[in-house]
Amino acid sequence: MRLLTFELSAYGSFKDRTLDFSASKAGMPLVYGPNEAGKSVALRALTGFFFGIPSRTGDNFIHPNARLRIGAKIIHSDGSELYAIRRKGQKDTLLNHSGDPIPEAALGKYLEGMNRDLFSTMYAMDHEILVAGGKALVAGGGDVGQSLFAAGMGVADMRGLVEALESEAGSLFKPTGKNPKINRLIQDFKSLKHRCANKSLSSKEWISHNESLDFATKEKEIVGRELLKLSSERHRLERLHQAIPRIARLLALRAEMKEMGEVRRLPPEFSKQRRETENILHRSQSTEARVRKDLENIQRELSRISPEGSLIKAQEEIRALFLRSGSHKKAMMDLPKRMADKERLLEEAQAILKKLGPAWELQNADSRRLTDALVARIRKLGRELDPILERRAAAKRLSLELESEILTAKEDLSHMPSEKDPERLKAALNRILKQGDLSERLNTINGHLREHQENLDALRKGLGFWEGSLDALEGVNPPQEETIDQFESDFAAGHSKLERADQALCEQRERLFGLERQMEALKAAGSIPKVSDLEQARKHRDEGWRLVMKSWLEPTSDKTNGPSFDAEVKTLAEEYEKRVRTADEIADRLRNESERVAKQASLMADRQEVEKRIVSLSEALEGLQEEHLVLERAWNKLWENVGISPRKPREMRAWLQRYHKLVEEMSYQRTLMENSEGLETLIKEHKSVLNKHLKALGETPVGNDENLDSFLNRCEAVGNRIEDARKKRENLIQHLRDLDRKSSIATHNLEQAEEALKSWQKMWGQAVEHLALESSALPAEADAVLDRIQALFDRMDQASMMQSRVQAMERDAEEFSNWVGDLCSRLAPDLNKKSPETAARELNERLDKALADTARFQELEKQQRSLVKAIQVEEIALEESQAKLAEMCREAGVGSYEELPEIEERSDLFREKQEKIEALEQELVGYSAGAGIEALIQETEEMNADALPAEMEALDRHIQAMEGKRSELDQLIGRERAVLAGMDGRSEAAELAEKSQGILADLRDAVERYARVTVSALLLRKEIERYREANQGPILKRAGEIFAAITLNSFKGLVPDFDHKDNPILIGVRPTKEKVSVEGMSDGTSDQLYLALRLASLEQRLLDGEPMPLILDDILINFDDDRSCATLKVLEALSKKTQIIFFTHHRRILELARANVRQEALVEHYL
Amino acid sequence: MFKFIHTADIHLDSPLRGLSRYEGAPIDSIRGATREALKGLVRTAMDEGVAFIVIAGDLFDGDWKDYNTGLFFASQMSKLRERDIPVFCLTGNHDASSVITKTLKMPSNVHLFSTSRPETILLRDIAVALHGQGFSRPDMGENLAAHYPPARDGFYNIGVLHTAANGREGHELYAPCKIQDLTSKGYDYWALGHIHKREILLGSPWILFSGNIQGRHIRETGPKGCSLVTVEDDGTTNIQEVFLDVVRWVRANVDATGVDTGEEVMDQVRSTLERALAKAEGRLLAIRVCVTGACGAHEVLNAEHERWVNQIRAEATDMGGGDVWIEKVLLQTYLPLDLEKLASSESPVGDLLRYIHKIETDPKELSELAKVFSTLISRLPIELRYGEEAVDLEKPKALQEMIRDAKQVLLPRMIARSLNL
Repeated sequence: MRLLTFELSAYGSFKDRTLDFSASKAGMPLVYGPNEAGKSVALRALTGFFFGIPSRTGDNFIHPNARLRIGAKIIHSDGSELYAIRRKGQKDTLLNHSGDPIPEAALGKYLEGMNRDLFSTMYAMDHEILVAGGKALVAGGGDVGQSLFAAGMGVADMRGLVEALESEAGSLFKPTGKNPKINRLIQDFKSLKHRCANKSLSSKEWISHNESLDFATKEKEIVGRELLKLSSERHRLERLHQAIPRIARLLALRAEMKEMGEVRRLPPEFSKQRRETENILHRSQSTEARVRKDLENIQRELSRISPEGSLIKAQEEIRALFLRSGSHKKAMMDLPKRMADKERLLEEAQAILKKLGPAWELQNADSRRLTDALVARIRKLGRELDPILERRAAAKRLSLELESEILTAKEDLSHMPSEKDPERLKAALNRILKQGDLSERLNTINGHLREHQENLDALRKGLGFWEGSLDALEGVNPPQEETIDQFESDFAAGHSKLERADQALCEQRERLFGLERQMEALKAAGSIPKVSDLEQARKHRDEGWRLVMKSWLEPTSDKTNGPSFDAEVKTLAEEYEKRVRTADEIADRLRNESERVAKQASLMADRQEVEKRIVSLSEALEGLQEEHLVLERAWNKLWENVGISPRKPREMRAWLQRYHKLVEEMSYQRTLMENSEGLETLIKEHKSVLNKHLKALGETPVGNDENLDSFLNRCEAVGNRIEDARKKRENLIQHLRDLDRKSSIATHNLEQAEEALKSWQKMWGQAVEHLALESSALPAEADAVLDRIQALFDRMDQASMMQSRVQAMERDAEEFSNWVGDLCSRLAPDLNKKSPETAARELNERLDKALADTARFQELEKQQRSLVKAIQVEEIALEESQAKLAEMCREAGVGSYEELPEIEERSDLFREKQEKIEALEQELVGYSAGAGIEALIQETEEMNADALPAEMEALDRHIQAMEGKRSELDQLIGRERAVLAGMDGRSEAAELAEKSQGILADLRDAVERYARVTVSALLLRKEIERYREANQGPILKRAGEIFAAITLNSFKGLVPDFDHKDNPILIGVRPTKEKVSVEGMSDGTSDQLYLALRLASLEQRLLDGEPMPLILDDILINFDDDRSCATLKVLEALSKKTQIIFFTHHRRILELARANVRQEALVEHYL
Repeated sequence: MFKFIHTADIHLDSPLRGLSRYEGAPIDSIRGATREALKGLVRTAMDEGVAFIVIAGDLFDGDWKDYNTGLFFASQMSKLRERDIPVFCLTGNHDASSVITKTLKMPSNVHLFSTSRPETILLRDIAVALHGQGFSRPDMGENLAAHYPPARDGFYNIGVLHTAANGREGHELYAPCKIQDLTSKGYDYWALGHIHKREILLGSPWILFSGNIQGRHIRETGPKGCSLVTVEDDGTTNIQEVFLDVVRWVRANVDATGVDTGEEVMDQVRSTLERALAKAEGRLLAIRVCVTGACGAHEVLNAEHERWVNQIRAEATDMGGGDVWIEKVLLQTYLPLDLEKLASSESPVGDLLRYIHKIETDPKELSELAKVFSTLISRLPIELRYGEEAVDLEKPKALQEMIRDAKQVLLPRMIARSLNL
């Protein structure tokens, strides 16, 4: 497969860039791109086209992912072609010409099933891989199999790969050792399994413990039963032993009871009851006597008290009377004071009457009382007089003032000037002012105009190349800037081509010079025999030989017919000998100086080559110069119609810019001038309009030459003056009108005031008549009379009030003494003789005493009742006690209760004995074990009491032995239960088993991994060996040749050899047959050895397989120039069989390639 | 109406297999899973107030000898005795070889069916007849069902049987029988055991395997539990599945086809784990992560196998909060290469592939290759040499698989990517 075109349509920094590799059919495209030009991007694009653009790419920094496009046209060795475009994406990323997806398989045919990585491994090489390959060769000691296989694959280090696999296998398992993972896990698993077995509980063990527990439990039951029997016997003997003395006591008591005979049995509490009853009897008797004495005392006191009932009945009346006596006493003291007050008031009234005059007397004064309404009216009228008088005076004053003001105003108005209308003047003025400051504007424009004219002059001077007028300048039509650009780039391209051609020619000439110098040097070292010389000498010799033969075979022939031998040579033989020697000499020299001969031949061939190149370069140079002239002519013609003979395009572009600027400025100047003229006309028109209005107002017109500003100021002043006069006149007329209105109001007010005074005087006269005053009396007089009348009636009213109070007091006193008399005659006639106040007080005291007596009487009666009741109670208690004692006597069978104590004593003794018997019987019932006392007595009678202790001791010993046995059994049961409790279904063993399964899982994984790694390593080793056997011969031979070529015959070839372990290894052979191991080679040489092996492998592969483009990325940077040249030649030879795309950053490599690779093989591309 | 529980294949204390231990693995939570599941069964029986429990064989693992396991079982059964819940068991192939089953003293509420002939137990208070016969020897080849008695009139008839029916993959063909053998008896319900995967063979009458109550390795994935059966007075039977598993086994397959980087693979693993976790219902998950597909990422996965396995485990630990155990990580990706085409190409790769193919297809070469492992095999514990957990290093098929894997181990290492393309 070969690439025909490679299109960087949109990728990385590239846009629509096409590299055309189709020119040379089996050539070696050399792609040159200096740093940053995008060589790496182009390389990535290449694999991107074949295998897809990686999902995470950094080459989308200009074109977004969706826009990335790489195109290529490729051809298969069978002649089929494919054009496709690659886009970035997940699927359908391969497109045809029209952008429709095509199946990925379309490419598959060309790629031999490779992926990106495999392709780049096998068919791409850079400097780093070369160095790594060389180093791996040295490190591997030149192992033939590994070296060949690595170079064949394109991998640097095959040995490392094999070793990595084997070391991984070794870390997993080794037949001996503990540390490898598998070995360790097996050990762990075994130990865990052992622990698991230890923790497992066997069923036998559990059963044996369980049975042992069963046995012990049953045995314990039997022992328990035996112990029970023994202890009950022991208990019986103990019981009898205790019972025997008690039985003896019982029998004795029973006999004593019998002896006592018949006994009256009284209840146990009889004696106590009897004593208590006697006590109660005695206590009741003494209490009754004491109570009767108390009763007598009370009755005596009662008979002494007799409360007075009539007083108590009139209790409320007496209390009221007593209260009244207090107020009565006070009234009697006040009465004389009141009577004196009355007399004094009457005297004061008399005094006032005298002042009022003869018309007034005390007796008829009442009939002259004034009504309140009248008094109020007189007082009100009195207050009204002063305001009425004031109002009248004020009105009169105002009326006079106004009349004088009206006179003054009328006079002012008669002096005012006549009226004028300034409105039209003001309107015209406003219109002009609205247009702004016209004269200032005119000045500015004129200033600009002057400045700009200077600027224009300067531009005109700086334009250059122009002889015509300014106006004519606007008429010309210079070429467009784009046209100038086009010419500039054409000129530049022409120049650079010329320079390159020139430089190439110089280089070739220098080379020719160098070659000639070398040839001269060779010649200087001695003449160099040529093959033609040898041929000439041999021809000469053979001619001689023919003559010798002839003379030999035909001795008769004429010797003079011989060849024109050297005159110095005497004979044919000598001559022939000389010629033979000469030929031999030349042949010897040719052989001996073969190197110089070859060098000379090579130099001559080079010289011919260079000379040929010089001729062709010179022709090319002439052609370029011709092209340049044509271009210049076209350039001059372009400027003909402008009338300029042009300079360089760059200068003319600047001229064009200046020209455009000038034309622009001229047009601006015209605009300025038009503006200035327009303004001046406008100002003139304004002045004439204003003058017209001034005239109409009777003002002096202004001369046209006056400045517009002062003109305007004057018009404004005239307008303002006329306006002020008009405003003043209007104000005066308005003022006069106001005064007239105020004056009429003032006159009206004065009339009203006069009217009010008259009506008041009439009312006043009527009112003061009642006071017996004249109508001319002043309000103050009327007020004084009114006050005095008021005082008179006050005194008279107070005196009559005092009189009625004195009468009421006298009535009250009489009522009180009547009441006292009445009460005394009813309740205490003895008091009638006393004063009412004393009688009332004594009555009250007597009531207090009667109330106290009644309360004491009631208290005594209550005490008397309770004492009577107490006596009754004691009498009942006495009766009850006596009855009870009589009953007790009957029970004891005696006549009187004094006999009772003796009977009681006998009864108690009897009871005591009986109780003792009962207690003993109770005890013995306990000892009888339920069989009854009589059975017990009978049982003891049969016993030998003395033998009992011995029997009991024997039983105790037996019981002790049995208890020991039972305790042993208890311990056994405890032990077995503990053991069984430990066997509780715990999960220790199960957990260990689970853990061991984890290890088993690890182990399984490790074994599987080990198997894969081991098989991989094994297969690889075997294949490397097989590959070596199959390919060693041809590849080593070809690699040897390439190695010799690249190393400029520093080595002659490569041969297989064996190291000290008998492993096949690579050896380099010097032309001197000296053998050099790869360890003995320099770094550069080992790199070249690796390159040689790779290229040889590639060639070998080409014998049968589809050729693939070989992509080389600056592999020569560590090669010196000579070895680089040699390598380029080797590559050129290889490029006849397969496409080689050579990427480089270095111009030097480009130059070397130009010099060393056939022109038709090399295609240069620049990024 | 009454309820009963049908369960089987408890395999008490049978360890969970295949769980490699690693830092962050929830070791404590996973301990004693089968015991916890059994406790769950007992709790369910008590909560639901069932009338009885039927266990259709395989209480214990056949070769497990720790009597503690039996004692634990007995203690759990005692709890049921306190609630008067009887348990009817029969011995399966595992029990027939278990020393525990033979010697264990069961509490009085546990009844073991006879192993010499079919036995019928009548529960007269709820009119239930249970028929069953246990295995007397592990390799029971007879059709036991054939000798079961016909149904009792007036009773709800339950057949209890440990059987492989007509055979199931991964299970020995014990007590074989056809569905017809079972339906012909006229029973209402057949409680079957032995097959660990729940399966309803017939709906009328009910014939079903309840499956085991706790999965023990990656071949026993999905929910596990017992059947809670409700029988109405008219004989209508409703079956409810009650999940008892405390650890659930899950396969998480990640398709990494076309993925270029290890990080992108991790993204996919994460989302797959998230899906699995969402369905965990609060249980601990034992997950096997299997990454497959042709992808560029194969190169990095292969180069640092261990690192990626650890990263997936760490990711699961972070996401699961202690409720996830990554049982195993299988990185079964391969390079996106056309191996067939490459094998026919003229290059060392082509040579290598052709050579490998030659070895792969030559029995002689294979048996030669197998010899490499003879030392290792002799050292391996017996568990890895025989039985279902064995690793096979010698059979041609296993060797061929290794060789296929070796291609995927070798190729990415040989591709050394010259240039930064």
